[in-house]
Amino acid sequence: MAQTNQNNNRRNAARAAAEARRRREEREERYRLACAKRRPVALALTAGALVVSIVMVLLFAAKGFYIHNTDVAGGVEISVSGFQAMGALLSGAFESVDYGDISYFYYWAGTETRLSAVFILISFLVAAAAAVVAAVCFLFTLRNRDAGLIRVSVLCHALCILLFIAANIVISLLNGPIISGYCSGNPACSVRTDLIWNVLLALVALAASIAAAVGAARTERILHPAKGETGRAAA
Amino acid sequence: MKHSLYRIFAPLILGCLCLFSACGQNPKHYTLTETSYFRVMSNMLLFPEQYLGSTIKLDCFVYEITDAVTGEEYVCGVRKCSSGYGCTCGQDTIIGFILEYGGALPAAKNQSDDTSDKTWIHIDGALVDAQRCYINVWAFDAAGNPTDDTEQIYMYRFAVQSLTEIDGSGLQYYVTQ
Repeated sequence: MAQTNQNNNRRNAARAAAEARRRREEREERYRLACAKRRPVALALTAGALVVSIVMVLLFAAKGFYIHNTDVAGGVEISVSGFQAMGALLSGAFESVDYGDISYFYYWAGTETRLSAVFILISFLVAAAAAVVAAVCFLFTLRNRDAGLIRVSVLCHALCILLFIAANIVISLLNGPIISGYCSGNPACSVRTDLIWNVLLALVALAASIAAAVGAARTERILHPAKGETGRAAA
Repeated sequence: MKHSLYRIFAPLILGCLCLFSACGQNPKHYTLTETSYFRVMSNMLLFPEQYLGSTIKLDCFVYEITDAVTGEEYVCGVRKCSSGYGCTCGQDTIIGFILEYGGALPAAKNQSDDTSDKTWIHIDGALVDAQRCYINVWAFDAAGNPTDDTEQIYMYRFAVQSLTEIDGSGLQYYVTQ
């Protein structure tokens, strides 16, 4: 009797193990199919996020802040690119003629100019990091590797948006001293920045990263279903 | 993964630092050209200290100014430019130096005429100091007519080491950059 029970237990255990192995193989097969189905979309999303991130970084060559004067042809009176602002900050040479027209801003609004340059630098570093992470995510997706890094891409782009908005706010502080000092109160003058486009690009990259992350999470759940799930969720 | 990211980020940050710090190295000598005259002179007006001790070379025309209040006379090397910092009044002014020269400075030509036919010179030298020298000049109204009011401009004194009269054709009488 005891021997029969033992044999029965062994047979049941073997059957259970075989069943578990079968279910695991089934999940892995579904996962592979889901990955293959999701791959084109994931590639498009990560590639899109990468391209937009690169443009976002390159935009720092555009006008970081400038005086817009409606009375001047072209509208731009004096300007400083993002890279020039960063160069002046890192070299400490705000008075130099080597960094665009930053010396004018520095003469009339020293503290606000420094602060603007600091925020531009921090925004640039985070934007560059976001672009690198986006590149790695794209490569991982291309090679069908684990796309966990996509969550880091989401975080980086979200941080970019916050920093760009903060930079825009800080740059707007230049208006007071510049309009009253440099522009002698001319109402045609205002201080503007092209970094607003960085905010929009970061939003686009963030949306693409989130979409890719959601897709990756859904696919992962097939392989590692939560308690109570069968792993049969659609990819 | 961490090591890979470090290998990507470290050269990127170092490269940026080198690039930006290299850009901050002001040259010791300045040659003001047709595309840099106004920009460098304007910068010099705001922050003259960084130019002390540097050799400055430029082409300009001779212009004589008499202080409207004190009557003091100055011989300057200037170019014409917009007075407008955010201004669209159309008022133009001059930008340059008060010349100090051991030899004889050439006389100004067509002083009161708005023409590029002036006495053009090439000068090498350096700022005497960073002290602003204010000069009272007669003001003009928006229509360009002289008024009874005066306004102040300022220049720095320039110690001329060498001076050569040159042909001004091809040089910009009115500078914008």
